[in-house]
Amino acid sequence: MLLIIYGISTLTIILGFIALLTQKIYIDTDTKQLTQIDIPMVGKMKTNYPALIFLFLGIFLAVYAFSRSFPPQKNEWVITGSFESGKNINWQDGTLTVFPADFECEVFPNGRFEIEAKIEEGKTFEDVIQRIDYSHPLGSAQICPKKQRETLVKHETENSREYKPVPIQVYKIDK
Amino acid sequence: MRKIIFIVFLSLLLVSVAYADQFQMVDKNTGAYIAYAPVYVSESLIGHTDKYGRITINLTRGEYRCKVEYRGEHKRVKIKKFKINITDSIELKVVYLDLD
Repeated sequence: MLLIIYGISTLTIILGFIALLTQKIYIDTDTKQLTQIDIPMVGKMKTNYPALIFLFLGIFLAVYAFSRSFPPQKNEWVITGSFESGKNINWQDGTLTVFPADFECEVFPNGRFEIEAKIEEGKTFEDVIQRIDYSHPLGSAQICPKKQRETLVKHETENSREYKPVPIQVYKIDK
Repeated sequence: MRKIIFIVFLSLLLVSVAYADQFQMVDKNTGAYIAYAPVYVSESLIGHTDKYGRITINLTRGEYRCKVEYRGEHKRVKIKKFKINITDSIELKVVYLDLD
């Protein structure tokens, strides 16, 4: 919709400019004044007013479209899922990090996680987030939302994703 | 016939088995983990290290040339090349890298 408004405003401005540049001034031979047109309900206007109206309408539309598109509208997204391990793990000892943006992430004691994100309208979570990393002293898990969308997403809506349980890679520390 | 099937199966098993060796990248000078860094083996990105600099590499046995990208001074991206040996070890192998 905004693109259409941008298009109309650009066209209107161009037409207004063309009209102004190609205009011809007609002077009344009797009064030696600019020819005026008397429109009922509107009143008298000089002959180049329509061109000016075109130009100002175009500028107004462009300003309106610009104010609507900047800053871009953002939608709330909620991403949920869980981590699993054969070991008894205190999940809250780990760190959940999302790359590249700094979104709100939380890991619950049962291994479930939740990410709240505000994402630009028209973009998806997979467009914005390259990877999710959960690092725990005992192990870690990584999710690549775009690559693993088919295999990892259990349920999805327009603004949410629910992941299947993600196993963590347990590291065996040499002692 | 059975022998042939057995030999084919065995050779396939020997050729294609990939081992998941675990590595931990540590800065030799500071002792800091090389966290969240992309790791490449033979120019292919195989994953990122976690917060503790750890990564699991699934490859067949042998020695491989690797490189890790890290942030140096003024947050400039730098690359450190090193070699790893996939041995099917279950222990976490610490790789000390001499970062600039």
